Amino acid sequence: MSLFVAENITKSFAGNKAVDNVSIKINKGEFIGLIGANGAGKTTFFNCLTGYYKADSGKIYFDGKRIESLPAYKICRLGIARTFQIAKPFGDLTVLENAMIGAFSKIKSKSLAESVARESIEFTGLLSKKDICAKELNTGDQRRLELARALATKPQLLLLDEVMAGLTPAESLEVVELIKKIRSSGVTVLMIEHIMTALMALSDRIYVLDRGSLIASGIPNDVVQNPRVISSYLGKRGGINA
Amino acid sequence: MNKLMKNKSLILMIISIITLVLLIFVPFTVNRYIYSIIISLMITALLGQSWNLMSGYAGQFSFGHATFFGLGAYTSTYLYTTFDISPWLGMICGMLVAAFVGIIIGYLSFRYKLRGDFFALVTLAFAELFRVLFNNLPTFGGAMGILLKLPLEDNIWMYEFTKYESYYFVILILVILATVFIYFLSKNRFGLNLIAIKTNINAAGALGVNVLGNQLLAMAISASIAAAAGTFYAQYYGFIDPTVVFESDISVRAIVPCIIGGSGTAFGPLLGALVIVPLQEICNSLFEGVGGLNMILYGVLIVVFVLFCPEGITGLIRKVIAKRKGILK
Repeated sequence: MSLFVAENITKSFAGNKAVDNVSIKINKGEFIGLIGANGAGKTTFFNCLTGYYKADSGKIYFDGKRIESLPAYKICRLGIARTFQIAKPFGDLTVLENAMIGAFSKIKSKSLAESVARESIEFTGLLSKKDICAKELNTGDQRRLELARALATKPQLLLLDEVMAGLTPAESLEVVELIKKIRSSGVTVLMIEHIMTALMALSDRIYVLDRGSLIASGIPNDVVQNPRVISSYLGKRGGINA
Repeated sequence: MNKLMKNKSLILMIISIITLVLLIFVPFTVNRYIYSIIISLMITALLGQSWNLMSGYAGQFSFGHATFFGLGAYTSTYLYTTFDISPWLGMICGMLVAAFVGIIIGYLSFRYKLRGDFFALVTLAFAELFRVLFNNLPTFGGAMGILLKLPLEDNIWMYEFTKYESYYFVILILVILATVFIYFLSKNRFGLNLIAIKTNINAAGALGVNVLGNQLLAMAISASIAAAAGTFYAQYYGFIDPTVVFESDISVRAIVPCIIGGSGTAFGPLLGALVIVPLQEICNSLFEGVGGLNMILYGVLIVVFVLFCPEGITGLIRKVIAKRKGILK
């Protein structure tokens, strides 16, 4: 059975269909990529899945339960964590405290939450900076913190929204390594990205969004050969080498 | 690092103990005039502490804490003068009433995602609403207010005291309780959740923080602390009327100590109250007869602090410490 199913999700803003009848399925342990050009509706779709927007229509199942009408925090407590495209650290709190907020979603005890939080910042390589205020971290570390916080909620499914955005190539590589580590720890991942190479290397399957609708899905090698994907997203090969 | 932290908490403990000892011996050293200032200072500190939780930690800027202060004062006083119910019980009833009203105001606002200025205006409107309401309700004395009988003998159970000292200790205990309570909250799950909500409401939700629930709880606790201050005010001054307890002056008295002392810190409101109340008193005596000059000073002080020291005195202290540490490195 699939861990996560979204059926016919549609979301419009003032008549414009930002997400149009999109369905996806994620099996346990899979790594799914979601690509699309800017404005294709990736983040809107994400927001519908995580309770930030209420989809106009469609159903979402997680672990067999309907979740489309739940608020964001309940979805998180069920086991779906997300990161944001622009890192949103709690600047005045330390790195450890940031992660503790994630841990507190399921744990009431402070000492237990602290040890879970410590685990997750160790996992993301921030342990040496645990007492530093989050606002003093650089962009790369803020992204790690974003991941650490999400992991501290002990998710079954992790939704990553362009975690590489704004990072230097070196930082990106580190984050890719980190994501591989998360994946091998058994967390199911749905990742938005428009850096194609990163997704090719990581994903089991890829969904492609274009102007709000799903235009292709399948294993990475098939998807990049799909003519519709090439014309709308990758650009036509041709010209010089053709 | 750990050693440093231990030293820090030790220093903090020593300072607290010294302060506490000083506070206990105050009654034996000062005259009545100073007394009244200190008690007024404590009321301001308690109000500040109440505002601190909701607006300092949770980031919901209230401009109408007079609502809760007034409800606390009126509930206990009405029960006391009409049914002869102990103001202590009245205080608890007042706290419940205030918490209830706070939750209603909060629910109406937060459900529609009202924040910042808009929320502040809603709270201001509610304070005005209650002032007008109580001005026109004959049951509660209308604009005449309620005059409490003068206590002839000490009666702890009935919140009646003949000596200043007793009132001083009551308010001292209330302030200490509120401060310890807020300090405890701020160091735990609830406090972290509130700071998360203040910093980024969406990120907080994504991490499983029940935003609405936490906001309402903060509102309820904050409202009940203000209500307890209201009851004390009524018992201490012996007279309340709508234009005193629901006046925006009370709301301002809740905000200013936080801004001056540093909101979102457990000791900020205390420091703030320690600065502004004596300052106001000094201004009053310096510019005697020039009405309103103290308020002008108040305003100037707030402007200066907001401009140059938005994190208040505690923020300033923290900066100085950070700088010195930087130099030592």
